[in-house]
Amino acid sequence: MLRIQDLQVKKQGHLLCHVETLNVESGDRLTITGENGAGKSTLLRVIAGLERTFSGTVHTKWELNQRVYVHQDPVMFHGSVQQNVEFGLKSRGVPKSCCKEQSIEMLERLKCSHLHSSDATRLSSGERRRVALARAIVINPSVLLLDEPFAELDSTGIDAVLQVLESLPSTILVASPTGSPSPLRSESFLLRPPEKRGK
Amino acid sequence: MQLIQDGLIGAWDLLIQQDKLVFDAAFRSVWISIVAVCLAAGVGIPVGWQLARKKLPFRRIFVMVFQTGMSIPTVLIGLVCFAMFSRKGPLGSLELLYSSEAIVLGEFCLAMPIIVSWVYRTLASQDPRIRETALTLGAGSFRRAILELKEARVGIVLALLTAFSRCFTELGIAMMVGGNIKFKTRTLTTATALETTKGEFERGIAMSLILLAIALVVTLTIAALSPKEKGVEPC
Repeated sequence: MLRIQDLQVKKQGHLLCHVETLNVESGDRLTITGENGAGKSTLLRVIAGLERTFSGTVHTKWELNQRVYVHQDPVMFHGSVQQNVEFGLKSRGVPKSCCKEQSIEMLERLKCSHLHSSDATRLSSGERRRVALARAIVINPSVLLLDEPFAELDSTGIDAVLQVLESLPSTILVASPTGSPSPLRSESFLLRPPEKRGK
Repeated sequence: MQLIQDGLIGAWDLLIQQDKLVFDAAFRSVWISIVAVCLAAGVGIPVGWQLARKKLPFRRIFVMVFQTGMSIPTVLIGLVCFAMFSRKGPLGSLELLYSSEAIVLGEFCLAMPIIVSWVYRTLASQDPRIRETALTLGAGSFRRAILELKEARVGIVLALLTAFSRCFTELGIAMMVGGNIKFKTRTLTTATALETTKGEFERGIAMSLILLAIALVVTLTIAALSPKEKGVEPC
């Protein structure tokens, strides 16, 4: 579970994100909506443990390596798609043979198994997004923090991603801009832009 | 003009005949530079990584010191090494003065700031999403460091080639701590200087041609590996 109280993230005197209260239980699906600049990505980054300079309380029982964040514009490591998907598994000490099996299975579920030997740095943005999701989901995290995961995906990609996400036991938090609702069945949390910017 | 023409013809003959003096100096220059760069990489890559990733005290001062070290004159390094290795110096008991090992250590001092500064610059400008993605996927600090260095490999290879190029073409250190001893510490640069002053112009040119050829190979490799500049195509 996750409890956030009066969270404020400031950078160079500017308030980037302000959340008064947010409670998330295990297995919840939550879409964080808001205008551009409301601080959706910042909130996800705080929950993921990537943003450590903030005021307020963020209390969670989930370990840091159980909270996986997928960037709005994910980056691929040099190497093949399969090597990218296996990265998290290898980091967790999963044996090589299992890594291969699990990564191929995940790529198949996301309808991109044909890319397994492709150079990961040369993928289209939609393909990169699906591979990044495969790389995150394959390690079976307790919490998935997805920053606009459906942007730039075609209908096949959206269906494949939705099918996989809905079958997961993980808690899922999705950032989605206002006016572009997330197709994932979920509760919604409206994040208002920080009213006063500046010192 | 005639002198240069005769020198080039004589140099070509020496290279064809595989002149012992020329090839001994060339071989020594290559191995000394390779060993010095390997040692400097062993120290310089982890130091560069630490400077780029850890919040160390006086970090900016260290970075500035290493950046200044990139343009330090080789005679100054030679002078300091000479003082260290001379009989009355702190490392005099090692009896390294006028040996190839002394040149290796001197060139190590020359190469290390270059490698540290390049690795630091490459990692400091690396896309932060690489580190964040590795972190969020559960990679430990060692695995993250390996990934970051792997992703920065072009910059690191360029650093090593630049350091090699500088070591291979330096004169001050080899002359001061090597002593230019025939078949013992003579390198291409010291031999070229000596042969030219002796009037052995052909041999000097032959050695310069080898220096030039190797420097050209390194430069072409650097150019091939360097990221292409993006911009408007010239009309």
